Amino acid sequence: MANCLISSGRGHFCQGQVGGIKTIFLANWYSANKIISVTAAADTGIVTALTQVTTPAPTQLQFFQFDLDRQTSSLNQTITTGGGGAINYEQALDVHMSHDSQESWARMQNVTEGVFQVIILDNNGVYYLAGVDNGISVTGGTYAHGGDVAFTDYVGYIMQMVGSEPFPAFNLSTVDPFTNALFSTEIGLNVATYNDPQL
Amino acid sequence: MRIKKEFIGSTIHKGRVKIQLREVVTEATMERLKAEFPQFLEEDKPKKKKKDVTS
Repeated sequence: MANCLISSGRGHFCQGQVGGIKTIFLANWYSANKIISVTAAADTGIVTALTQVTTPAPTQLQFFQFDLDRQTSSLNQTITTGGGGAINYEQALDVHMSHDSQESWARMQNVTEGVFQVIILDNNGVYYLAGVDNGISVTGGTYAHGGDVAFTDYVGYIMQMVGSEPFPAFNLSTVDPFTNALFSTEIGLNVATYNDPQL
Repeated sequence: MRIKKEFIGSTIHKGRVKIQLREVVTEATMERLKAEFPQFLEEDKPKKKKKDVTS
């Protein structure tokens, strides 16, 4: 029997959601440092377990927090199906982080050049996990200056980050995944952050 | 071995593969779970023997 049979309809949802994303959490993605599987309840979608690589013995996968500008950043998941039964979910992030500084100049290059697993917090308070299988990386954007002219023009980092996955981003619920006991041995939030202005 | 009760009804997503955790799974699925996902398994509890009734 196929594993794609529906078993429920979908009703009308009352108003009460908003758009946009407010924060992303990036974890370096490489063979010895990543989540390799996600277990979710088949009917409710609730993620009950994350599994890391087993060799070498895993330590808590460290995520780093990046605060985004309000009402400018987005997550866009595009479904692509092929005639031969293929399916693909492109997970595209458009993230805006205003301000430049010397430290940003140095550190944002690693964001630009790296590959990541990403947890996304949207403006409804829902956390999503993206880039599990293939990772997400920057495909374009502007580095600190993007043609700004006037005093009021935007200065900062605008990045498009794209991944291609067999499943859509997993819904980790509204419970902070870094304090959720279900994932406490698998993932952690690294508190290292910087917010120094230009010196 | 059997699947832990709290994970029954869940689906493991790994790569393009979905492994559905049902109360009864195929032998091949159980072997894969043993190899890759032992954290979802537990030992079968030994069945209680009926006590002999002595009069």
